[in-house]
Amino acid sequence: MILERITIENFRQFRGKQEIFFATIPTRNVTLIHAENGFGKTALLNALLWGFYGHEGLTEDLPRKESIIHEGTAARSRTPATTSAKVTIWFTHDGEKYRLERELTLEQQQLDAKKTDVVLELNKDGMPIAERHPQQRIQALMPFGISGFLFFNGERIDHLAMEENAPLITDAIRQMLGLKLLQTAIDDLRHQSVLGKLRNELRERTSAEKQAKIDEQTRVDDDITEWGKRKDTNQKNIQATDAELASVNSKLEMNREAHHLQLRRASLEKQEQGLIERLTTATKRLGQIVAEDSYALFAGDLVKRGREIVDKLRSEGKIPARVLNSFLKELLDGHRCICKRHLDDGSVERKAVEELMHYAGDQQFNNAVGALDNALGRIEEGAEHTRRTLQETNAERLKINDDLKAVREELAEIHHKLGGKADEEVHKLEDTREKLALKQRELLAEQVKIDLKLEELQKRREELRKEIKDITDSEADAQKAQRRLTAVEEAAATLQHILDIETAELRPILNEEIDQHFRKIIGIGYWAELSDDFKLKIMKRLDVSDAASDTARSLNMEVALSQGQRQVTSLVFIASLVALARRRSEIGTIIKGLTGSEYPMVMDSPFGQLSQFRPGVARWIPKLAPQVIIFVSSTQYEGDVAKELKDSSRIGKRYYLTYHGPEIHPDAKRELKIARSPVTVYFEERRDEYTEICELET
Amino acid sequence: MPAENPTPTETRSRLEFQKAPEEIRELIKAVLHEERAVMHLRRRDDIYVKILQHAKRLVQ
Repeated sequence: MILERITIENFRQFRGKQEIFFATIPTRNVTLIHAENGFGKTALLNALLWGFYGHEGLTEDLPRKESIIHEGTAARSRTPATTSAKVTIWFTHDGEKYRLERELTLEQQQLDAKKTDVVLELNKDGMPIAERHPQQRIQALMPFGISGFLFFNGERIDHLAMEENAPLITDAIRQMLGLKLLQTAIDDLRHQSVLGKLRNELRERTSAEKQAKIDEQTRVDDDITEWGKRKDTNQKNIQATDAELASVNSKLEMNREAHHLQLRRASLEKQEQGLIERLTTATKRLGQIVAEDSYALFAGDLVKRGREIVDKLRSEGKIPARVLNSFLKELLDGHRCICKRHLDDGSVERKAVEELMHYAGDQQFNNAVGALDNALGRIEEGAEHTRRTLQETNAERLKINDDLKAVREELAEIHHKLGGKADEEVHKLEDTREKLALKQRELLAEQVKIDLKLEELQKRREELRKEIKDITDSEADAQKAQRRLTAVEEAAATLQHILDIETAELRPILNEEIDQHFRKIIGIGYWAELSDDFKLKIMKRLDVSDAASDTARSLNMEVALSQGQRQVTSLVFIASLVALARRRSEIGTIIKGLTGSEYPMVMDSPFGQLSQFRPGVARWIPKLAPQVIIFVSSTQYEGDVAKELKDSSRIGKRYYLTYHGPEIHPDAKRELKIARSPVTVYFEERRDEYTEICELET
Repeated sequence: MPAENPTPTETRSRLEFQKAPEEIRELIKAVLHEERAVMHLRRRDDIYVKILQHAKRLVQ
């Protein structure tokens, strides 16, 4: 989808009719919209989203969502049936041209602002053809689920790069790369209206024993739903607390008194996390060694005794046997010696051969002792290896524990230092931080508890499913009901497996994109990756020298992310998804008809918290997507960003927003140096408040 | 072994799909066909009825 033009009429603070022609030429694909804080950047982003999705599309941070029509215009209107807010968007998608129009009259706004009139026309050889189900068609062209990744506030995307948001990443991949179809099918197959109905049908026809199991399964399902809701709530609380913590951390980082200590703390916390992960791995490994190989250590006495027996037999000449008793028995049974003498009963010769039987050895005995000898050797070797591995692993565990202790002591020291600072702001921030960290720990502990409970319930559900299936029904219709239930359950399970495979297979491809994009911004020494469990991480290589062995080795370390780094990482992730969506048809999938699609990226304030990454992002942002639309304030634009964007020669269209109102935002400027001569963007206006869109020459 | 070296057309997920019994494969195809048309809609009560109908038609 490439956006060509938008007209906005009386939408929020845009009074009258305003329009923007977007840059559509691939080599000049950037549309830059200059707007000071409070001038209407959020309203403009929402105009686009409202145009596509109506009320549902409005962003969370937009206040008074029921008030869509320009307030002054609405207040002055004497004809509510004809006064309206309207957004019209012209766009192309896969070579087709569309015109989308959404309108809300004042009359309708007073009744229910969520109900709007929408028209979508496809231009076929110059003839507009209205889509019969416009909203359905829009959803097919650009599903609402992906809109959050294409139209966003740059300062609010950093949450994607937070560890606990791996499910959001997985969902984003599925949404953007067309796998949502599989997820929807799974959810619908498992829905109460499908699986529940089939289960009821079986229950009505089956035995009392099976009925009881089905009832228990229904109860377990209800519990799973209930615990699932708890998990969602807890997850949201974790995200909210994390955002609060990030904000406090960022304030501490910006405070001169706390800057260095806060940076050190961020790095230590990351180290702590890495050490905890390593400790868990080492402890698990230790447990595994004890469970699987420790028998060798406890078999010392037995090995010793076995060795004594083998040695004794060897010293007595019983092993290896000089002559086998089976051979002598053959001679005796045949009554003939190898020297051709007859071994008749009672003869001297026979007696002599019978005498030899006392010294002869048994072949099987010989083999058994040989095998025992061999096994003893292996147990001894195994015991040695196990002892060494145990010692090494335990030493590693102790070392990690020591490191962890040191890191935690330093963290505590930083907390004491910051908490004891005379600066009141630092003192208060540290206090808030401590409370939030405590709350976060409790929430994370709760998460573990919920996960364990859900795991237990899911295990029980699976057991019950098998138990129900294994109880054979005597009646034919009960058997049929069981087969249908099993078929739906298995179809959902197969689809789930397929979805997991496809998502996992996309991860390395996405990783390549992420890494490629990320290196362009951050430079050498760092790289970004999507881990096996779908967490976005920035890594760096650290060369460490090992004093004990006098060698050097490289360690891949995860870097503690500042808000700016998280924002860059999230931006890179979204850009990589957009890039992959474009070449979707090249990537194998089970879903038929997935073609590559172009999407624009519309970013409100993408340079907000980027600090040192601003030039890198500004240089690279035009290459993010086939079409890039950026809303930017003067504080974010002036300097590096302006230079990089200008040097890129990719700016196709430029606009600025003028604000007419009683007061100006404290951060906003009245004049912008965005053209040869300064441009006035604020006009004092006491009677009415509104924003206008003006074009700048590029 | 084809399972270990899937070609671009024989993706791992396709092999997984082919491992499923015929009845399940048919049910999955039918459900995906129905879902394509309505997956983006918020209200789509009919989909459950249609899935049930397919399950009953295919599993006798």
